[in-house]
Amino acid sequence: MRRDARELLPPPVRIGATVGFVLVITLPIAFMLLLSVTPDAEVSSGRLIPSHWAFANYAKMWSTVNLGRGLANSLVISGVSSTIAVIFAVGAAYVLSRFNFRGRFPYLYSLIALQSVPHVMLLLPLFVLFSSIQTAIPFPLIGTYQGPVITYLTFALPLATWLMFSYLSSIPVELEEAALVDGATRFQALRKVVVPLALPGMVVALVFSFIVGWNDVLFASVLTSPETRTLAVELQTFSAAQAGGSLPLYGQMMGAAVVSALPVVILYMLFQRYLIGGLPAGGVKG
Amino acid sequence: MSAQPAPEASTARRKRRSGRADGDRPMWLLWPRVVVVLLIVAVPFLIAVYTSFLSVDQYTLRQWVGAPWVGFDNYVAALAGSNVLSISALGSLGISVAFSVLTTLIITPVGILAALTVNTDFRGRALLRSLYLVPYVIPTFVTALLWRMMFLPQTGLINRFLAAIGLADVNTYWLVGAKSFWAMTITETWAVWAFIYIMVLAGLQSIPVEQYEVAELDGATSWEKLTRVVLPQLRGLIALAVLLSTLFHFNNFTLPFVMFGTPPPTPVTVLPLNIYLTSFNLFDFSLGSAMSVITLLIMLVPGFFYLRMLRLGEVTSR
Amino acid sequence: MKKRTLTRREFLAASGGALADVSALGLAGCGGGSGSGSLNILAGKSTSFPTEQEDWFKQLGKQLQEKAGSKLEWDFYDSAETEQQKLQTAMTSGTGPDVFILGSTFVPTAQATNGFRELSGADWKKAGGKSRIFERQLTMAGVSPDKLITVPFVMRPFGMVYNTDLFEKAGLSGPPKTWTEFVEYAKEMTDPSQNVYGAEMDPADSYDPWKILWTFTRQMGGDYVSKDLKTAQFTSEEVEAAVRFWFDWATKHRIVDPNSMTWEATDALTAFANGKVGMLIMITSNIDPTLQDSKVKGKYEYAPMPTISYRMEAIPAGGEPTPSIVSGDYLGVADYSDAQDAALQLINIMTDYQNQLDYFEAVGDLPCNTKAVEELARKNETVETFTESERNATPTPFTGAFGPIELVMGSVTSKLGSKIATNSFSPSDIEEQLKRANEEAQAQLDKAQR
Repeated sequence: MRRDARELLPPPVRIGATVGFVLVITLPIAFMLLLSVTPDAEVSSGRLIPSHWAFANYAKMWSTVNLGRGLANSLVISGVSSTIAVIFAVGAAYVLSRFNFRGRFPYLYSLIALQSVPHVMLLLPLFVLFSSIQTAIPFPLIGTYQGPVITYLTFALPLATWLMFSYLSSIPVELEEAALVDGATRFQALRKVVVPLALPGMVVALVFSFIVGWNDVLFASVLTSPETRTLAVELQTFSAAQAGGSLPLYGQMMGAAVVSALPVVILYMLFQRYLIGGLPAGGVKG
Repeated sequence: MSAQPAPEASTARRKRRSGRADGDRPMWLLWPRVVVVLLIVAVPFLIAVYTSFLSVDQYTLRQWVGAPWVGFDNYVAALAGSNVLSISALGSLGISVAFSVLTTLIITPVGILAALTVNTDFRGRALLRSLYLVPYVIPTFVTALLWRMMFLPQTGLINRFLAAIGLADVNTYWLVGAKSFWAMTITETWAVWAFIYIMVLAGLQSIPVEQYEVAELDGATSWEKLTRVVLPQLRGLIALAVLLSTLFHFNNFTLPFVMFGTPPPTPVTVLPLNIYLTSFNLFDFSLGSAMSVITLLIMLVPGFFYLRMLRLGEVTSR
Repeated sequence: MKKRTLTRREFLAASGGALADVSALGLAGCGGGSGSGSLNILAGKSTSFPTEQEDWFKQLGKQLQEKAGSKLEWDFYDSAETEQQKLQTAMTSGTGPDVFILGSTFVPTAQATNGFRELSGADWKKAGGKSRIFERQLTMAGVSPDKLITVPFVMRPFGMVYNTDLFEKAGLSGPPKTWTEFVEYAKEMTDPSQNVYGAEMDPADSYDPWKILWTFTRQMGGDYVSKDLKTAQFTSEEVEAAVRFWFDWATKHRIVDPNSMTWEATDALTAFANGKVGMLIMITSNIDPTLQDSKVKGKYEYAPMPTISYRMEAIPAGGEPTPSIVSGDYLGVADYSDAQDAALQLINIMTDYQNQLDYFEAVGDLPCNTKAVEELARKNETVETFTESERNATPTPFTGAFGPIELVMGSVTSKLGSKIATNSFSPSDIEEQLKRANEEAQAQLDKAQR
């Protein structure tokens, strides 16, 4: 089997770098795992190996906060918002990359501008806006899924759109044109020709958009009710310490953190095979 | 990322993009984004701008619409003032810029390198690829707490390690004083380098194998393949990643907030943290809004030039 | 999409029914404020006893249903930050919980927003009456006795806890009654070779420092703010002496761990729980579950904090023997609520004898119902100690500016702490920091005057 032509690094460099990465990544994570089975009271006491293994943390944490529900809620909210974001992004990016029209540059520029707005300043006004809307029309936003979904989808859009734009720009128009000539509508061309090729970009956009919602605490803490509380907000409870009161429950929190990191990693593992891409052999070549 | 088009094809392509209505152009695809953005960002932003001209604090919160008008007072205060609590808006902007740029500078080569290590096929690749993503998907504030514990003086892992290899005193303070900036940067770097990695990887994977093979046949070495075939094609993507990464770190509020608590040491008072403290802890929403507007305006300028310069807005990207 | 459904099913197994809730919720969700016939209350979460707390609220809901025909819905905040955010979002938008459980330090801010119902005589009757409430708590229930906006719910007096083992080893008996004794005792117990220190400090904490320094200041006869609430007094003798005294623990007396300059309250508590600290101050009985679970189990006792200033024989004129600030949780009714009547009835239920006792059993917070707390004090020494503290507790200046002022003081101490930690401290730093703090505090007070 001849050497893979995609090998771009000399083996010692590749191996050395890989080992380095693995170490740097796994050491803190190993620490996190260690903490997750340390009794809450002993965390940050300075001793590395706990006096006894507190596997019970993994059991306790489901009832200290409503972790299961938080997990489910986050999955729904992040899942829906990221999916919609990618769909919107592909559509907009398609138009942006294929057609020239007045306002194209401003549109693109606005994507950057929006990314630069400090989210902190939007928190209160957004809440006010939502509550005004839901008083005016019977469409509840606060304390539901819709509120956070729409919010996260908006935050994820600039990133997703730019990604898709960059990706779609590099897919030659000739392929669609061939399809169009064959009698397909633009939509069919989009669906059958462009999207499959854009899959790697879409996977990336999906993962990033998912993480936007997964990670957010600021907006989730004001926009959700106990029923719709996301995982991130529930996690925060573990680290809370009442004034003059008890210690934060770091052991359980690390256990919950392990659990909360899993879905996204699994998501990525399942979708990453779509990351192999490239034009099919026999596609239009220069 | 694309097969090199023949010269005729590209001219033809350019002709087609003259802007004439060419059959059905689904322009409406652009609208969904505009709608949500107007709702979620534009309107609240305008509300915030409105409040920046008023005096909205804990006394006027209830009836904020009718809060007293103070004109540009808040803007002056934002530019000039720094109080016991934190530094001025401009000072925070400086810290934020340093933080974002530095982090991006570090993670870009790191991310590219990482993507290169998993570009080829080998057993366990899927696992390794996913492992690389893990720091990015751990919720930010868990990362912040984890690293906070590692940076604690005396008992923290970092200090213990550094002391063991004799590089630093076991009592080095990472969470207060000048080193706090580095603690924050190191943590952020660890958490987000996967951002660049994942984008570059997607880009790498879509370069057809044929190109590599052709280059090999031409007798190119690994380095030449890298610099002559791969990197040029990825240039647009990397430039985009750099821009997005910089902006992304700008907005990172959770990390410094959780890692350092309130009030934070001066070297880590990045802009979102400063705005949050001013608005929510000091109840001075108007001042917070003014700070946000000023910094937004300042940041829009480089963004504009960056776009123009790199011609990221152009349709053809190689 | 398929993959996602599978994952949801997995978690259904783990969360047993959470998914059922989730799908039933759908697009429903509760708008802020009360729907018809329901009452929404916001409380602080107990992380030590979450299920017990949940149960208590459940049976509270049953009682409300019977008495007022309203359904009770409850939500929690997990920290003062979130409490603050919820208060602000509610006040700005006019939608939110009907009843707030506010920490005592937030009551002045709540009053400043004008968003809470001022309780009339008739209201008090509906809510159960003033006479059954622990008197001292009422001092923080409103800006003046005729303008009360909250009903005290639970008390959280502050005191100190000391390690009986370390006391024995050093040949000390009984807790210190004056700060002079405190410093002496601490010196006896300090043994740097063992990493054991007589006392601790947490200047990087967001809450403890201002409380501690205020206590010192008050005991010397000073205050952060003038009596008429118009002038900031950070540059006064008493405040400066207070700050100096506290930081002397690190620089002069050396009775605290040098690393404690970067400590927050939890770090100090951890150190005590590991037997490294002789006396831990500014704590409430809520730390008991943590201590029960730790190395120092059975080796600690509670006591009120010393009340007589360092190197003084007695309280000077104008000073107060403040063992604690008035501290606890208060119930307020939001102005925008359309279920205010039901809210008052709920408050009545929450502050009655039995429910207060039950709440103590559930989460460990001391009742404000006088009968209930005295009953408990008779049976439980810890309760007696803290109740005694609270009897003499002093209310902090009741101004809407106090929230920011706390923050200003916190910033002073954390800066001084980090200067000491990085060896860049000089005694004149204290004056400098206090001067700037005073300007900031004055600005805040001026705003309150407008």
